[in-house]
Amino acid sequence: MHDDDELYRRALGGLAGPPIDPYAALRELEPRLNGAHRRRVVTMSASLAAVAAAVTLAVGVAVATRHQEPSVKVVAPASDGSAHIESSTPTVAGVVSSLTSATAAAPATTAERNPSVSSEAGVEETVEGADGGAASSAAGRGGEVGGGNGGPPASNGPAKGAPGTAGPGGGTGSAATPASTAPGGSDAPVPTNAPTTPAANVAPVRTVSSRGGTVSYRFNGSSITDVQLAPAPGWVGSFDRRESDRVEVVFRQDDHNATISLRVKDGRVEVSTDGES
Amino acid sequence: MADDALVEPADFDALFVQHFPGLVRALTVVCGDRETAADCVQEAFVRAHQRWARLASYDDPVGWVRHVAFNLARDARRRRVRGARAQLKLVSDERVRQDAAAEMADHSGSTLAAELANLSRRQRESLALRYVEGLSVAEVARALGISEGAAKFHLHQGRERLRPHIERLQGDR
Repeated sequence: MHDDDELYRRALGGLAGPPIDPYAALRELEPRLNGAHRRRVVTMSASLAAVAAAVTLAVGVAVATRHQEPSVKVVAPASDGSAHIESSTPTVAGVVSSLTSATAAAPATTAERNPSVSSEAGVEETVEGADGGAASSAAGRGGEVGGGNGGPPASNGPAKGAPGTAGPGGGTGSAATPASTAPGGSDAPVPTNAPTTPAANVAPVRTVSSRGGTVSYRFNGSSITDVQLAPAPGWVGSFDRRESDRVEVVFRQDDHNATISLRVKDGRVEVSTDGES
Repeated sequence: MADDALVEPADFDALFVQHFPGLVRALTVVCGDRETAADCVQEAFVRAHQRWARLASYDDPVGWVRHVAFNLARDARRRRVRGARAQLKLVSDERVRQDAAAEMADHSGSTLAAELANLSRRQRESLALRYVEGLSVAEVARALGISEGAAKFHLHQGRERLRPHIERLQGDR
């Protein structure tokens, strides 16, 4: 059996060919080993760079999201004159936009941004960018719209983009819809399920301010959309008329009324106020 | 394999120098082509080098290299057979095997090589590991992932198929 093994060893060894110089083979292999090592290093470096970029982006988005305030919108009046409130948080597009552009923080005046808007004396009107900046100026975080008589005054006017917190519902019966109203005085962002508007191809938000409050809207050239009310502290806002080409908003406080009217005429929005007594 | 004790596991170069020739020779017997065998073993060592941090801790890193090399050789053989089939679409597998045997005979210039090519893959691998690389039956079984009994069976079958040619070679000498 041992002889047999030796026979097979010799015969098959002859088929295996002549002896091999392993050192020469190693020298021949070294370029491949180094090349493979380099490729591996390059691949790992690229992977690390990708991970670092992803982490940076994630941190940036998180930071921007934390600083971006949710907005409260008064979008539709109820039959009893009360307003329905929807809240929204910034969209991803808005967050990315805020990361890459600093223009959102600086609203321009109407005359600079859109000369088609006319205004009358006593009306402060501004047009802001379409990336959500106006929404946050129209109403503050977690604020309620419409306060009753004698309610605690808000700390800041809504037109300035500060929290527009008014007092809890008072005697006018025009409190906002409870289901979508943020808890008064809470700093927590309002839970959102409101649809987000695309950042692109959206008309800029314009605001009209009066003593009784601020009206924000968009004008796409033919109709007025996205009308939002932000009553001043102690005032209650409601729609007297709401059509695509005509909107009338009345802010009330005790015996005082302030009306803002928006009317589309010849492709422009005519703004008028009255009853400022 | 007894020589493995001399190899410092962390030393890739030492492992290469010690095992590359034997692996190439064994794989030459298995696949019938020395260049293919050398390419496969080289590729296996390159892959081992890429994973050396992990492989160095293995009990039998050369077993990993051998396994990869044999798989690469099988793939190469499959590609070769597939290519031959593509060229001779109506020719049976037997014809392809005969062609491979003739090719191997051309390389080695012997009928022993032709008969070796006609053995089953397991038989060729068992014989190559046992008589060219010098592994024990238990090591052959472990390298091929089969039982010792199966390894003995394949070795026996392979030996019996080659015996007439071996004896003829012996008589010629």
